Amino acid sequence: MDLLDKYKKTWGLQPKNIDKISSEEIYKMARSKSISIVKWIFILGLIEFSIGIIFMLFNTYQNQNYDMLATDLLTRKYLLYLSFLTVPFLLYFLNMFYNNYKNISVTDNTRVLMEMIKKTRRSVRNYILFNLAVIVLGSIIITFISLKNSTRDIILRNQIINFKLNFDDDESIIIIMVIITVIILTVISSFYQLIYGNLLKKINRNYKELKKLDNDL
Amino acid sequence: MKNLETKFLLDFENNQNIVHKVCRIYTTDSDAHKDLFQEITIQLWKNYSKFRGDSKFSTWMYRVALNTAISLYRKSSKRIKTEDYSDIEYKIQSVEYDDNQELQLKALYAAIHQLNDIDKALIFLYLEDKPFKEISITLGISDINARVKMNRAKEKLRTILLS
Repeated sequence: MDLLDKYKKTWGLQPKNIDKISSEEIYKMARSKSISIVKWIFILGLIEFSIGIIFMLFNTYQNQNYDMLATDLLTRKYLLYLSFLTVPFLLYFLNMFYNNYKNISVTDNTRVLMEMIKKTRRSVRNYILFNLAVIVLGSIIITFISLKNSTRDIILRNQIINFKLNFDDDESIIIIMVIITVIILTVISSFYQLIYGNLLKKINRNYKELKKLDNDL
Repeated sequence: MKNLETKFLLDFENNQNIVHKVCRIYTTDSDAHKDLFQEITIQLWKNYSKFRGDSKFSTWMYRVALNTAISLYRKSSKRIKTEDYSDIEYKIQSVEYDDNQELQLKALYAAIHQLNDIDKALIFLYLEDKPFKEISITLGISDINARVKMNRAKEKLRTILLS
């Protein structure tokens, strides 16, 4: 008898009643809250979405000070246009998140299930890339207005007062803006990497294993 | 609705050892075992209304349980690892199940724990004596792939058991 056959026989003889859970407990369990990865991805998508919307509303309705600089007002105006332009995209993403979430079914086969989860992940990633692109666009707008305007350095000086830098020339403004943008992008993308990377580590690993079944024949 | 619940609980009751075995393969401590068991139960119930009875309930249960273990379940990071399974004495009160078999079973579980998640599923379905057709459908791979991969997984397991 082969070694594994012997173990298989032992396996088959496992008593069935160990750890038996009562029907009442099963009933309670079936109604408790799921902690599945897919659910988390959907929730995170919603949270990110809401933060974006809140940020936009805040920007729109914030009281404008009388002593606000012309540059500042101009910047605000363009950033507001930018925010409004993003709304159709945001709705598109929200719809996609929801459909993906609905379409993921644990009763599909394992491969299809993992492909669906990865698809969901891709739509979240595209949403994040879209957000990052908007941030870059915003920075470009601010830089551009600052360069065009006579009071150009004031808005920036206010923002980076701690650096105690003296910059009046165009290059300095551009350099500072690039540095700030890069810092923001790095912080945000590493934050995402941390959350989603952690969440999807297992899926990625198992998906690779399953994919390998096809490739190494 | 009430009927569905009763039917579900009955179906579950008769097959819950499948879920326990999946949990014992994919987790190494009792807290994680409970968590995974609960998540599988939630998924089974959530999808039960869609279960049309085209296949046997147990076949469907294998699929949902393995899918949850492989794809959906994520061990809570807050948890501190508690007692390990190898330290728990499994109380077995069965005539045909002697000490030697208990040791064998422990060794088998310990060996399976060293496999990757997909190999675990393959070995589990082999031990449960499932036909290749069912294995390939459950995992979404071709019949031939299932056979080839199964041989490799068995080879890995054999090596671990012999070492």
